[in-house]
Amino acid sequence: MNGGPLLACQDLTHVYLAGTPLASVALRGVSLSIHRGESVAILGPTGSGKSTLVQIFAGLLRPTGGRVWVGGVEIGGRGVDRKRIRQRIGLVFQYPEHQLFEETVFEDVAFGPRNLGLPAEEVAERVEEALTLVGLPPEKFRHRSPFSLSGGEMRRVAIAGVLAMRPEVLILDEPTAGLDPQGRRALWDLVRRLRADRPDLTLVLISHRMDEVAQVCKRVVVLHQGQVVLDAPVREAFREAARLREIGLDVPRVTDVLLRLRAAGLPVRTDRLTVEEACAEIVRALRS
Amino acid sequence: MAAPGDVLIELRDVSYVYRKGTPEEVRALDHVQLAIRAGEFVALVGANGSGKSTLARLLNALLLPTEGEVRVAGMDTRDPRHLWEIRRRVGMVFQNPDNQIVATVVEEDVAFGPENLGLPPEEIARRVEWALKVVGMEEYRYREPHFLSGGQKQRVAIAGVLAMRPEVLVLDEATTMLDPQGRREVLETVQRLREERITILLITHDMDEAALAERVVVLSRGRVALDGPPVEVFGRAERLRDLSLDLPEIVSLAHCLRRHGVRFPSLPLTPEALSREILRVREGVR
Repeated sequence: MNGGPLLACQDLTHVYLAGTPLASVALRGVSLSIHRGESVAILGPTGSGKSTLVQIFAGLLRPTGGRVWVGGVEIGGRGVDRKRIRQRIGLVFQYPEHQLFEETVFEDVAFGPRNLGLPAEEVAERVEEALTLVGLPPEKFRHRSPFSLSGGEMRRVAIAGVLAMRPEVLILDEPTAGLDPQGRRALWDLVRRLRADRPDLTLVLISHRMDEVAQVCKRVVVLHQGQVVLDAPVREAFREAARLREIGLDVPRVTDVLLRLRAAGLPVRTDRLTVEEACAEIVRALRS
Repeated sequence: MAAPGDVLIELRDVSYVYRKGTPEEVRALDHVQLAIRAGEFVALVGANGSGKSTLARLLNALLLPTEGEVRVAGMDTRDPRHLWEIRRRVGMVFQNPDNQIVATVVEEDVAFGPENLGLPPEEIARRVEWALKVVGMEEYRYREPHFLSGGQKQRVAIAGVLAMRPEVLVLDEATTMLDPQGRREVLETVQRLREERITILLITHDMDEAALAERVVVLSRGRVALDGPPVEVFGRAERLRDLSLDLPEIVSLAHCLRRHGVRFPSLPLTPEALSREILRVREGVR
């Protein structure tokens, strides 16, 4: 592929249990393109279609309507090499640690590359590389049982298992769900480091926490009832905070304060993303 | 039922050791003293592994203390004669909404506990109706739990516990797996339970949630590190950082503004309170 988007879809629709009384529409006419090296957050309340969309991109679900491309190759129809797609697109599900099953960390991370039929040396090399990328020094962790690790470490092992496939796109579905604040911070550090180490790795992040995605993603796509209602750079998205709250997304609390101050006539900008930025903005407005 | 203000739950010098006597021994709680009074709304916070869930499980005798004693309305949890009475009085709701629902119809799920108590059908019906009303799920009484959202499932789980007429409700990270909407629903339900004079112990990672309580207990390495009203506990930013806990975002913002010379009479804990204080400062400047 040269220049075109890495992931794209057009008028994508998906209906679960189509043609039955239980039919439910998950996506209604979604069009989107994501280029190599982008970091995109997909936000939306439960049931907005986020997970359906990424499962279609990852080749796990065939859409009931519309078109999808990965690296310019259409993947929506039958007779598509889904194994090849899954290799290019690494999807880390929610609570991925529930899917660990091998006796050692090494074996667990090696599972995917081994299934590709790679020679043992290459498998070992990829496992080392993946564990290093997720911040688990191989010499310390390779022989341990995944089940002796902390929740945050287990999650890293699961992510390493996906990275060992050397995907072009890494999709993380709610990567911090259920972690404590320390675990969450460590995971975002990991994602940021991964971005720095692998600038051409495309990152797609599903979340409902705007404050967290703002730290790692440059672009925000908001889904609501199966449709894209906003697709914008992260700061612009924060300016729309009031609207996002209406559709049931959590607006960061500092943004909430800025919105209230503005509504009361204090001239503050509402696109400040962190506590420090908001603090400086309020101080500036009070002094002016 | 305990009168408001009476000590309802008491931990006297409680320790709990997992795998005691083995090389993997872990001391999860270490000489904890804690008393919770009837009608209190207490948030219990702490990093993973600080002993929060162990403490919760000691309250209704799912675990028994290795040392010390736990009393619920004066009853020692080690005394097997009190077991069922303690479990009735201390209701627990856990993290995963999908693991706590047993029946295929919402109202049957809520009736499950009282039926097991062998109550007369009219009493069961009365309790189910009341419990569903308190959690705001009356409209869903004939639905299949399977089709509900996470927040709705948690509210049904809470109703099932309420139907036992407990005195204390322990929510053990009951909002962790929910989306913002579900989280709000559960927290609004908790506020409503206060009107029913039920004592609440909210175990959470989320400091903004903890700020809703009237008292915050911070556990660290199995010990009580801080215990007081949220303004006091969250006023101690340095200490919380040392315990690797976050401040609620609003409190961080208030601390930052203070460092820049903005004065608040007391520490604001909510976006409403903070913006009100800032606007008052502006009036003062004029």
